[in-house]
Amino acid sequence: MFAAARRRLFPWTAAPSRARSSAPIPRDRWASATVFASLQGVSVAYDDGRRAVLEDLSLDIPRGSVTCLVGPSGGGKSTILNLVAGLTRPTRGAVRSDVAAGSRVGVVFQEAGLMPWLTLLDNVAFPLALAGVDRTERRERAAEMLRTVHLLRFRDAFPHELSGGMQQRGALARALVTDPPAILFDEPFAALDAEMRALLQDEVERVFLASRKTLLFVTHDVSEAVRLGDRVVVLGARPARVLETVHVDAPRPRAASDAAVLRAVREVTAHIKAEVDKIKREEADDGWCASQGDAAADPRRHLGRGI
Amino acid sequence: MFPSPIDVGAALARAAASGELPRAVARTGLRLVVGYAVALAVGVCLGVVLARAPRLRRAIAPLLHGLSGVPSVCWLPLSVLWFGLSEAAIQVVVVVGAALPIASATEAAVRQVPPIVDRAARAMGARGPSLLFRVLLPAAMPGITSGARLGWTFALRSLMAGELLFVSGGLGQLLEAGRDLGDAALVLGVVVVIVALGRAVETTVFGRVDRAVARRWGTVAA
Repeated sequence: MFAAARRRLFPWTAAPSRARSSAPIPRDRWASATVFASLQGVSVAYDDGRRAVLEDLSLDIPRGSVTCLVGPSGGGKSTILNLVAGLTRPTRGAVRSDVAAGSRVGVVFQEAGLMPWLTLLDNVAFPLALAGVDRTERRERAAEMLRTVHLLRFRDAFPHELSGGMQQRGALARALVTDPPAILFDEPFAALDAEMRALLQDEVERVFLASRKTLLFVTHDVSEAVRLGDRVVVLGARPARVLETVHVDAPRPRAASDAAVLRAVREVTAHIKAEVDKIKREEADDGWCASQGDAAADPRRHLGRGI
Repeated sequence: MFPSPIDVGAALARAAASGELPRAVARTGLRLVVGYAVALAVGVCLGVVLARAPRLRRAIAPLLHGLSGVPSVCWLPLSVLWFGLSEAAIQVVVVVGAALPIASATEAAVRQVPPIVDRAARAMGARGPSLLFRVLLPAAMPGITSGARLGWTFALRSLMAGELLFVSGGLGQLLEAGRDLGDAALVLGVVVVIVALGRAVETTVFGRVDRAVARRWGTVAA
């Protein structure tokens, strides 16, 4: 009874600390050689089930490759990432992944989300501090990571003293510093200018080629998805479902102008365009139905005529 | 009854020479430090709990808002009944007076922690105490320090009211003594000392803390 009350009053005390717990916690054990995360018949709804974001969605994220999710905005792409990262629970269905089984994962969001009171170096060292790595070692590892994203000169700067692109590179370094087997990206470069975006895409590809980590990359930018992805999963909107999975066979490192990349961009764009057209048609139909229905239901309409 | 600044200065000098004024300042200062420290601890804890427990907040926040409208010296009679004519009785008044504004500032500050900071921290595996101490409290620090500053002025006001009503030494009692002796110069002199005490702590402690926090957290241009 106290445990239940405590969970309600102090929700943050309830979840087991992943950093400290070495004893095995009984969990849904998950071990798959080829699949990093698997969503099976997953639904997510907010507002007590009134607003469905995902409905009965099934999706596997393969290990050691780059999976990109593209689709119209507001389509539940970020929700899928949050499910994989363990930040959202499904209303129905099962999410099985390395993360749920206790593995660490790096996440890069659209906003860098650096801690404003920490220097860049301490920000990058933050995941290590949570994991209990001692101060000297974590500062060394963080500095090493800053060097790889070319930010070592700014190690003592606070986030508000850095540009958006630098903050985002800091966030990338922070996601990489614990050397997690998988990194999740939630529209990480959407707020940056085209040049910076291209540089960071190169950076992500370089990290992937060097480590063959599992990458999940959510974006609404088709060319970005094709530029980076081994597989591009095209999602339909509201509630999200998988429309099509496009395999991109272009060799790496890639350039946005490669013929295979351009071909895949056209293919993915065609799928998205079909979906957007369908939404437009449906909304037009809804609009017509709604106005008809309202008018019929509104008694004043008849009154008006009577008078 | 209308003393000149020179009279006030002379009265202060007399009180200082007799040792009465230093004793009163020390006594009041100690009470402030102890009461304020407790209020800070209670206020920050209460604020964090309110911010992170929406059901509890809905249940008790209206009550707390109502209570924060009550001048804290109103708790003195009850406090005397509970603790007798003791230090504890007067400390209760200070703590109640200062803890509520600190709690509401902390609550607001913790609730306004940017969702991205919270989300990023949880994605990195921050849970429980590490989320609280490494993320939520530092993120809320600018709001907490301004609440702490507000709490200080409330603590001083509450203590003065308490000391006036309560035979206990301290600056409040010195004010009473001045009134009993018909010594308006002493009364005004003590008021000057109270102002000086409040301002000195405001500028030396809180001014510096506020500036340091604002610069580091990037809430003002450095």
